[in-house]
Amino acid sequence: MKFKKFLEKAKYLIWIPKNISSLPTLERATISDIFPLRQMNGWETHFELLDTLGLISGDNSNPNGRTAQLVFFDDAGSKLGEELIEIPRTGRKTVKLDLFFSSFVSKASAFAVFHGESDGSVDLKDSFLAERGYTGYSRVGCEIRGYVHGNIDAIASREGKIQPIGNQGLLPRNYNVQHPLRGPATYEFFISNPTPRTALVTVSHGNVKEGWEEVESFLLKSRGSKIFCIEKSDDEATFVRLRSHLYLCRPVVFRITERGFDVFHG
Amino acid sequence: MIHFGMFFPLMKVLDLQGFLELSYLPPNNWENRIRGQLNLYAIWSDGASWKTNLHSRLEYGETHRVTTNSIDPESLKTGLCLFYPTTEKLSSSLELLPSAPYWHSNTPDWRATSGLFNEFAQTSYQAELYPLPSEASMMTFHPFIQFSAAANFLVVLNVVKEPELRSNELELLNSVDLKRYGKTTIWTNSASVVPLDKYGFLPHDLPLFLSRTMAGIPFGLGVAKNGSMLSLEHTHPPASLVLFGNRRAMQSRIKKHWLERIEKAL
Repeated sequence: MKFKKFLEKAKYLIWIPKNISSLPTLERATISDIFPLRQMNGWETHFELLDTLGLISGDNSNPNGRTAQLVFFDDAGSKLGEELIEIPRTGRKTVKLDLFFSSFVSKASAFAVFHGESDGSVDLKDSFLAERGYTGYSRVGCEIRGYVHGNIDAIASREGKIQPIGNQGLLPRNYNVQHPLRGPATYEFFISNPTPRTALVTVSHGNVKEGWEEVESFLLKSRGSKIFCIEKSDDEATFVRLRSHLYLCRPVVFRITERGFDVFHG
Repeated sequence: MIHFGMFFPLMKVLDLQGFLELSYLPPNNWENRIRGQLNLYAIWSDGASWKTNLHSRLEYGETHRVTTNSIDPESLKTGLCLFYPTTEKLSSSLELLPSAPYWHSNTPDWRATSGLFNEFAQTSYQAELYPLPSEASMMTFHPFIQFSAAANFLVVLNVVKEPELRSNELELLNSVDLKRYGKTTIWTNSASVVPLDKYGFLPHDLPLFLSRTMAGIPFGLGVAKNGSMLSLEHTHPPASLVLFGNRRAMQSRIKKHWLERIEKAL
């Protein structure tokens, strides 16, 4: 019994020591999630741009005309380009990410939003400014948008340099998406790699009672992303299990039904 | 210090039905080793005590789906019924919420799927609830109010360990000029619903919601006026604007900045 407990503790120590993400080494960097960008097959993507630094200081009227940088990535994690955009003085700006906004959108599968560094008026102490904001998705025929917030502290940036800050562990680990799949519905899972190294991700589908079936396996390059799909026709609760070295392989989930969709982080 | 247990919310708001999908499947394979049968209790406040009802027993690997039209309406008078998995047998009436967290994980928190549905659509988020301090405050910004085709609501979930149903004031302001749109009432141990469209927010406004006496988990709820789609997502606490460092201290400082400015604007 003691040996079993020792083994459990040893295993725990191997898994635990690092955090989900590392402190950026870029001094005074700002941090962004990797947000899914959907623009094919009738999808539209809107980002809610706020004066994040102003929200920290208590004055989000942006009197100094601060800007933010929207950086676009393809599914291999390559940076396609960036657009500078003025942060709103009114509180909120809904940015529709389409070809009118940027030509990079046509090839992009994800984007990040980096706010300008603090102008000195805001003391962040040891913390870093982070964009974990809200992206609204809509589809042809849907009356309203479905919103989801950023859920992975993915990449840091300063003066054009980009640093993935997610961690990978020594041993592979499972992440069970915390949502039982029920049909009829099409589930689409957006996975990104916030770490500096390529990650192998293995997707299984099933449950404890019936067992697990490997659905697919793929390599995710650093900053890269992928959407994989599971069609669910019946109402029995099943799950998606992701096995990888990523510390937190948590997807954004799109549950699409005949009439509409739901989006949430899993 | 007593750590209070992890609860899972079932909400009944507006004319929508609520659902909770609770899975006895941990999010990862290294933090939890619980496998035994658990009692799943429904717990709700009647204002004087916490009422409990053994809803079902839960085996490892099982998922239980509970809907608001399948349980006693008495348990949903506050709009919020909690579900609590435990090996213990609970008394039918409690003075305080149970304190033993039988399910626990950090990377990430163990969550259920909680949401709302109508005859056409459903929306959900990954839910867990820990009791909030009895004396606390809440400040949040709502950046995803939708226009034209959507009806918008703020839903505030609150759970404290004591069963009292205490009313609290919620102030609604424009975050840029601090114009007051109005005040309304939210409740402890309840799901409070605030209709937002009557306040006349504009698409470029960023509303600020402030309760000086009650903490809560705020959600933006969008309902397509024809009922065809729903959208539910929580709004961020101020600490989400930064990462690393002392985020709790940053949250206090951010609140302090805003409260000082709001007091000046009075």
